[in-house]
Amino acid sequence: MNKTSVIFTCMIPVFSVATAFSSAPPAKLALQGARIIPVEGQEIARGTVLIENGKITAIGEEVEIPYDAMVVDVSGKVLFPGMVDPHSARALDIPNENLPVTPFLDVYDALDPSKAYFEDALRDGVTAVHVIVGNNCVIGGLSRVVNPIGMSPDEMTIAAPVAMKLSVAPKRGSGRMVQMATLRETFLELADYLERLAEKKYEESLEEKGELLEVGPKEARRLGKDLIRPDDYDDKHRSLVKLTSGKLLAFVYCGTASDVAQAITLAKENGFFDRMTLVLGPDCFKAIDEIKASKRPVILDSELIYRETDPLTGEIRETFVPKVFSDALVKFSLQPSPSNSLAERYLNYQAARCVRHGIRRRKALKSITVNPAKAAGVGDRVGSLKVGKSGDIVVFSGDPLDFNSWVEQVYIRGILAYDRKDDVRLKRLLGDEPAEVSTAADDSSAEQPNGEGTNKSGRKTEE
Amino acid sequence: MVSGIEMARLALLGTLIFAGSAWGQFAPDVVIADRFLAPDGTLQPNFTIVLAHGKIKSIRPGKPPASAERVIHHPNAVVFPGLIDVRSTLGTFGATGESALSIDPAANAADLIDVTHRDFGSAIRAGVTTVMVAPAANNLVSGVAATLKTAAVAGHDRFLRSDGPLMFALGSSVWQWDRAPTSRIGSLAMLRESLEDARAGRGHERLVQFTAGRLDGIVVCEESQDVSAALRTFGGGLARFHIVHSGDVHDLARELRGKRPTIVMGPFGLETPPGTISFAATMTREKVPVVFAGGSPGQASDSLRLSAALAVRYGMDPADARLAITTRAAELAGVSERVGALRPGYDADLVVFSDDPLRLDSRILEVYVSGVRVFRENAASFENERDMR
Amino acid sequence: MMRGYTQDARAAHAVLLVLMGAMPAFAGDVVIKAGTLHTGHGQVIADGMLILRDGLVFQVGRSLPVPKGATVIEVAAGSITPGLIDANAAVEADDEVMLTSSKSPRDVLHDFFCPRHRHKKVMGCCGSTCSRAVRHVEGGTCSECGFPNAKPVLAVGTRPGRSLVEDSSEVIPHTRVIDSVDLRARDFDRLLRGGVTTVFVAPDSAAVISSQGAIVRTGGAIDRRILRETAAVKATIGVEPSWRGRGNGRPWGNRVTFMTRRPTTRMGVGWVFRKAMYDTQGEATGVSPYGADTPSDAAMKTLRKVLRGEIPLRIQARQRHDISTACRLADEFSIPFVLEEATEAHHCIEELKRRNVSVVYGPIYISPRPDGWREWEIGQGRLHTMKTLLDSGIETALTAHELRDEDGLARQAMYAIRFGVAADKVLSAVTATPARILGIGDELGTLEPGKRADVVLWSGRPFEATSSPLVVLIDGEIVLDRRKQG
Repeated sequence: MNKTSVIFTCMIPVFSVATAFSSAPPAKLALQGARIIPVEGQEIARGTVLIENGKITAIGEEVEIPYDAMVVDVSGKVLFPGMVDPHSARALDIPNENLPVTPFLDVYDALDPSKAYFEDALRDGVTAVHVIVGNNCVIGGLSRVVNPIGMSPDEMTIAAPVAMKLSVAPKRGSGRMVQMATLRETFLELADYLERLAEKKYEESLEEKGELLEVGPKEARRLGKDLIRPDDYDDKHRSLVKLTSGKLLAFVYCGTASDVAQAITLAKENGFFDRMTLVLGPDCFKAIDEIKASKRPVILDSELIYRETDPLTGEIRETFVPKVFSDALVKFSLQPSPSNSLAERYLNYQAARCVRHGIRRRKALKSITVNPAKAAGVGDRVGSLKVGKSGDIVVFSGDPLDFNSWVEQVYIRGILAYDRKDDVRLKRLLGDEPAEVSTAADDSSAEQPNGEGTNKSGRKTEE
Repeated sequence: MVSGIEMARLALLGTLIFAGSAWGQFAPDVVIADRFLAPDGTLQPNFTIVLAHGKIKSIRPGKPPASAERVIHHPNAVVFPGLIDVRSTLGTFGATGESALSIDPAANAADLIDVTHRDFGSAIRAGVTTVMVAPAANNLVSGVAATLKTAAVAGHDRFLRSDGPLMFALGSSVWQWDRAPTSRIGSLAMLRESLEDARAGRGHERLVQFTAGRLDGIVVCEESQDVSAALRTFGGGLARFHIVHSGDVHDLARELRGKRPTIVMGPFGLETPPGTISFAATMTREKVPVVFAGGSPGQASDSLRLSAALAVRYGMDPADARLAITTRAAELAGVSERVGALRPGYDADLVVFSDDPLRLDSRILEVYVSGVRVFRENAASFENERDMR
Repeated sequence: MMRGYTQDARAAHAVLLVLMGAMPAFAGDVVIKAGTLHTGHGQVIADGMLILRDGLVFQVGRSLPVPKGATVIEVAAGSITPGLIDANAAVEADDEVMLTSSKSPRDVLHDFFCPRHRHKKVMGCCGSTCSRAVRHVEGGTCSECGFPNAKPVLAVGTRPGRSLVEDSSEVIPHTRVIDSVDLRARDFDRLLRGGVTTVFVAPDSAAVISSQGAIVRTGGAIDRRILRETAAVKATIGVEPSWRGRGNGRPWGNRVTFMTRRPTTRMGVGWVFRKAMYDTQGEATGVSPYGADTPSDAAMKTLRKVLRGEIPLRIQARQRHDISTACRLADEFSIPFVLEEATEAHHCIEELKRRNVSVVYGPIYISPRPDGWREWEIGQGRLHTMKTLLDSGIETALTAHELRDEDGLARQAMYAIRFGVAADKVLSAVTATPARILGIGDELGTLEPGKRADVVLWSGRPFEATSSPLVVLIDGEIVLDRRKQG
């Protein structure tokens, strides 16, 4: 396949739905006749969801449908809340900067709406993505929650800024001691900066009044503290102040089990423990006691099975990681696999694996909807089908945990964002391809290395 | 004092010329053993070993004949046949690898041994009187091994055998990048071909003899899958197996059952995983003969005894362990008609231990090769040991 | 020497396995009951029951009398299928990396991917070849590709690279994969956990005419695992033999040496195949072959058997023009063949049908452009190919090839169902059909009285995202039992 044809096939659905998205949404939409899995609350065998102005206003077996509502018959289908990807750097051009401490960065600047990732997210039933920098950082920057549809980051965003990314696992190229020292130093420097800023503000306030400084620096700092306005902070410190003063969530990455205790200490020392979410590496389940005691929510690695070899006997031990957390009653969220070509890319398949390994269905469903929504700070708006929440709904052809179920339609804020009928790319893969597309795909054997070429040239065409 | 000097000269020079009668060799008529290694591997008490002309004349219970003049008797000592190291590179300066041909039956290890090399002395001091030296295992067929005594005694040839067994090798050291084979599948295919040819009478004489059963062979296998491949390729009975990477052989017992090749393992060290060592015991329980390799001079010559002792610690019958460094080793090298046991007519290669050699606190009191004393323990010998290094 | 001891940690396992090996072969009758019983040739029995005796299937049915002293395994919600058969298992890929990861080996290798497929410095940190069979020496970074000093990528089952890729010639049908199969490899455990009981261990695709594959069981007593030492000769048509293996450099000047014998283009691949066959034919008629690429005598001996149809030929071809080439070559020498991988087979239905070619298709990737290095040969795959092949009546087996995720071949079946194939047809494609293609159809592949008792008991419906193999039996012996883990 040559590059251009790839781009065109990739872009067709995005463009078509994007156009639909920018047009005025129907004010009222009723999805009628489907089995409803609200995740929070009782399952409804056959019912209706009513969405008005992008929000769910009614849900139930018998819902009074307003005369002016657009009614969609989805009988035989299953309505499921749009799934939430709790932690993804795949929308960024590169996941991490080289600089270690970058609290002043915002994913806004690197978010690429034309990434094929968003197209796949829709196709796979994901309606909210927490876009956050990768794990290879010390302090990474600000994150945001977006819908996987729209032509600009602004259009996509549903919440921002959401969280600050930190990592206690060493950034590539440095060791664990340097990592921790850098983190501590950053927060010490912040405290120092705040004191000096307070002193300066106090002096300025005296100057304005024409008074002379009569107190020592310590007193001046105390008095000046309340004089600081949000505009006074410089870029580097503004976000850190938000973090330590409780206006931001903290997503702290722990690479191995030994990092967990470090993360907890760091969070407690710097005042963001209550808003911390732990992003865990594959073997962090070994610190389950600490994690349980901290009562913090966790985001699990997309590798759900941890395999290790007994050094003496050579026997392979396999641990199904979510089971450990489920047994310890810790709330966990699942991530999709970064690999496109495996079934683990579907969040609902990840949940199905949990059921396969003995986790209760209800918990498994929560781990791909409510839990990640809460972890990303948008639990009040998305993550379940509930009156008052956003009309983000996936229409499945069958049970979401059945691998044969397809995402038929995706509604975001009550607007049809994806329809399998119009998914040209998927149709082509399934053999239902229009003639002209298939002839465009002949020239194939070019030995080009994979991947990014598509997106780079994709941007070019867009320009 | 005198023996200290004797020892030094022996260890340093150990040559045919100097090892003659010039410096007053001691050759006893009778050795009285409070305990001695019986052919079944057990230690039997109160025997008298009569020597004559470098051979064992008889072994009988009770007191020595009155006519005996030179009698050796250490109270509480254990008399052993000289230990045998089947995986030695003594006297070769490590230059046993030839990589010109991957099938090279013409090579002969006897051609490269410097019999005057001083390392033979340290073998003697560890009670090792016979070693088998083989070409390195980097060819599918790497030539024939040679078996020789570690000390020279006038009137006796150093070499017990210089025409075998024929050495084969499987495993990654055979695959080389600049000649065929380059892989495991390639090496097995190639070996199968040449064996087939040999069966039809084509190819090198030694291979023909081997396939006809007139020449014995040893296969050096690195991993258990090499052993499986060898069993398939050679069929049962023809070849003996020499397993180098013995850690990998865990559940071979089932495959080897009934085929009964000899398995060579070791040397074991204290860092060897117990599972590897206990495999030796598993094999002997399955009636598969086990031989321990010493690997001198790369490994300390004492590693033979250490291997045997560790095998006993991890479940091997002590009798099997004793045989594994003497009789079985001689059988493997094809010299069991002359060495490896205390039997009438055998070479008078004796080691007098202060206790059972499986006990690591036992010392070597005296060593005899072909009836001649080549080592005797005293304080000076330890000092000489230090000087040697 | 010392390396051997410290390196191998499996040793302590030895005792255990040896003790297991001492168990009597056929302990007694086994009765398995489950909600559904799939016999593998389309028959589904509700509340089915299976009686195994002497390692064979004794009776299949419903509410049969339970023999005295029989072991009864009953899972009411479960289902019974024959043991799965993978007709093209590349028992490869690494141990260490794979162990910590459920990534596909393609992805894993992609992580370690060397952008330059060619490594001239064989003695460098890349043991031999960089592409598929990377065997990195620990503790170094490759000066050529900057390969990280990561865990060595080692194969399981077959060791990769130098173990399985014989570089001295591109025509090596006289070599046997079985020589390189480590029956004790953990990869077999992994296959077993996925319900796969029999595999055709595929030869490597680096040579134009590669080795002879073997059929082995994945569990049970070591000395009873090999079913066929030599099952088929594999040939590869496509781009792989032109850049895999040794450097594949073009000859410098006019000198063709050991280092420069490989084909470097698709045309070259076809030429090597043709020349090998013509040389073999010619030799039989007294024309002595000549030229640099002349196959060895041993190779020709095997090729004669292939030409006479005594040893089946399998051809790996992925892209449609490669499939066509395979068909043409087979016509030229009138050899029947089995097509492997067949990524673009949906374009070649008529050609395949006309020649009555059986296909071992797979693996299926959800994304048509899977991340990884072989993308340009499999990038044009379609999700419907399996369905199209089966619908057109072509005998098609499904394979997971080198994929060893949580569920391996079962996952491939799951994909096939999602992408439109009926569940019972999918079951046949991983049991009865591969058995037939491999020529072991009278022993394995279905649950019928008299066949070998290779059985999988699933926790739910087979090939469901929420179910997995609970109990696996080989020759009537339980080789995997996960009932206690729940």
